[in-house]
Amino acid sequence: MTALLAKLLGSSTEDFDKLNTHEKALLRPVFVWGRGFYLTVAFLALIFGFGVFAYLTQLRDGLAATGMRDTVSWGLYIINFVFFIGISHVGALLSSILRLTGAKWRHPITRMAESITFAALLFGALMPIIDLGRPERMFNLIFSGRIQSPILWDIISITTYLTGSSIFLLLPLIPDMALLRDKFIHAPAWRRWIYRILSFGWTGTPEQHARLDRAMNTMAVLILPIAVMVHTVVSWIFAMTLRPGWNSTIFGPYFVAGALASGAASVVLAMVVFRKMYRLEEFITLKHFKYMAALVLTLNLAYIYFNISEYVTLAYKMEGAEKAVLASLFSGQFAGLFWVTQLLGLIVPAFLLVLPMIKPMTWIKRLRVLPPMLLAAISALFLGASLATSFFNTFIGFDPSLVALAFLLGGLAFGGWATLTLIPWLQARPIPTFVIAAALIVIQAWLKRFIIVVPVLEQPFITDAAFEGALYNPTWVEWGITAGALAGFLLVYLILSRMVPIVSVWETKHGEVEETVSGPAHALPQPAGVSSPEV
Amino acid sequence: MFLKTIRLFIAVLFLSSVTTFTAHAHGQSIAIMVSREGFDRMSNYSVDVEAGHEVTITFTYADDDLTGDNPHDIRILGAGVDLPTVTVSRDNPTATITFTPTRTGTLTILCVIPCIGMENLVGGSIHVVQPFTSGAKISLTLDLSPRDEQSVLARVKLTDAEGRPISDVPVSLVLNTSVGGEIVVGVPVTVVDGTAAWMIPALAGQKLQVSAVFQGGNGLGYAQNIAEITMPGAPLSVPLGALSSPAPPFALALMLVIVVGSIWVTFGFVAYQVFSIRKG
Repeated sequence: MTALLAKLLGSSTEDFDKLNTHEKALLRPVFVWGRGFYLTVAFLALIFGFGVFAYLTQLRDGLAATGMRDTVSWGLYIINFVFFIGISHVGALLSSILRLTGAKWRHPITRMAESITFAALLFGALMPIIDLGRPERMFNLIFSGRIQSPILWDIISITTYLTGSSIFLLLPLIPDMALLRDKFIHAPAWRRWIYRILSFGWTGTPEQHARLDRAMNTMAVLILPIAVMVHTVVSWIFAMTLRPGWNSTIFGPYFVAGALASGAASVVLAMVVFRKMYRLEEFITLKHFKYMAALVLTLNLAYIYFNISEYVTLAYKMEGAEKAVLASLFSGQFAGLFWVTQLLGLIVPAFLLVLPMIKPMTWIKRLRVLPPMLLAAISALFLGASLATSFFNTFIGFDPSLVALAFLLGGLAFGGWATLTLIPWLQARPIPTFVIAAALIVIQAWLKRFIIVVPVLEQPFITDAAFEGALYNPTWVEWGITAGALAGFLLVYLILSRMVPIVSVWETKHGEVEETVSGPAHALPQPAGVSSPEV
Repeated sequence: MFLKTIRLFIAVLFLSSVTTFTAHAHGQSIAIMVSREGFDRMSNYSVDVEAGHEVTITFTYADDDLTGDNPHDIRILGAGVDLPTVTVSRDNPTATITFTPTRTGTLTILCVIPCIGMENLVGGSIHVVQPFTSGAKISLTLDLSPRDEQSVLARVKLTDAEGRPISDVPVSLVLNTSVGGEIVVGVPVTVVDGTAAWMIPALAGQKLQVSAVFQGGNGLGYAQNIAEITMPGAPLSVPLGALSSPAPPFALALMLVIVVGSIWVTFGFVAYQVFSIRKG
């Protein structure tokens, strides 16, 4: 079965054996498609198919198949839209800024970032159409759109960004496409055709290099403002309304900062997966993780700043209609989600990203009098007792607050102690620590969009007894489409990484590899007793 | 063919008769059969009830001839009432709603969940009319006049049959909105000369329709009056924002064309460079 698939879809060990060492290291995933790849594709295609089925159900039954109603009229689709557009920013950021500043360390990771941009935009752009319910009404925006409407600006900017990102992804691919055209001669006809067309007759002459450089430099200058424009316009979909909670002047930079942070974090996740899966340890080193972690940290801190600025200025006043939205976030229905997202998704990752970059805190080892697991168990016991005290004392009749507070403080103290003892472990393992932080930031990015969209809509301008309890509960159709979109994104990303080298071959050819290996990666502080960073 | 025509004729005759059917409630107690064919098997069921008197409606499930269950969640919607949804189904065949409509108007009865025949269960209506029987006859006058550029003064006067003022009684002022709803804008109490006044916010050029309703009681009858006013027009003191502008602002359109056009022209330049690679 695998052999048949390899013949049809393209796997050639014969061509692969003729490659030089450098090419072999980077082109193995392109030349050799194994069982694991096919199984992963099948698994993702299955989820994607389920998403398509959910969408067909929605087409048949209308938007009544979703949890959206006239009060909460935006749900998971718009959340996914903002999320996907957000993570798509990283391609522009990494490739553009690092290209313009001449940072050569970028070479092994720029294509990963650009591919994320392309795949995320494909599915991000689909989301508003899915949200329409009647997809053919998309044409109303083209034929009857009002140019003064932010919705139309959104369509224009996303179309422009998708086009620009596709060009930006394609340009540095041209020499690698030519390489595949020349060396993958036993590829199936359809793949040879793709490589031939997209190599644009590249032979590597100085004039071709000059033209490619000119095109890439132009796009590098252009793509960054487009990316900023796109997410600003996405934020204006909210901020141009008079809705309490969205009616904000800082939504543009607030959204851009969040988008860049989540996009950079998603590249860290891609780096660790491809590094392991495609055996790219030689190209993606600890140095790259360290640089990316610094970038994610910077963007995350900027995003924390915007969060504080947004919420504190409103919470200080608690004025009028904003009050109900903020109350639902701070202490109401969404308080749990809000605080978990803010703390676990923003604050904790900032600490995690810093830990491996600072001097090893060996003194913490002295705190390790008890095993961390035991401390965590004691902490859980105290927190449970705090909850139980609050519960039972309501029946006993005396003031429960002091006892409950004492247990709560005890639980937090033991929890903090357990966390402190973990610090040396985290410092000794920089890459896993960075990856945990990146994963938390990406999850936060999605949940944060939920917090921005849903609580505001659950506070309608006009309350009517007939529509009271306008709560949003996404249905299986929405979750199915969300899962399908995520699987589709991963599928496109995975297939892209198997069609072309995920690390640029021609850009890493001339000495960058040596530079990455001998770079300042090993200058990272190592805790005592740890010989090498554990991955 | 002939038989088909006869059947069609009978069907049309039957339908035209049910569309004009109006049940009159006596004693404000109404029984309604709920089936997939509609309320009392009519897609446009209609009934009259009197304002100010308690109404009891009993819904009875009437889809027993179906093999499966066909539950209906019945809701009565409209201005001045806030009623719970009641369910009738095979296991719960009857449900009762009791309420007192406070003013005249139309309430809608509908099934709010998907069910078999749901298209027949969305057009029921309850017309709340003035009471047929009441206490002493009351005269209620309502006068609307512009108070300033942004408000209207509503003045009501309540007198008995002999023209004597009625004081210390509440009169509801209801604004009939342009989208078909109603908003109670105030419940002023009449003073010693039988008058009461209330300020209603309004915009320049806006047409307002206001109802004044006296519920009656203590031997006094129900009274209602409606008045309209169109506020004088006035120049806008604040220019419209771009979002509410009916025509695209020229500066915005020009800016969009320049920005987006420049980007796409640059894409064209890049594409030219790429396609020129083939020549090199």
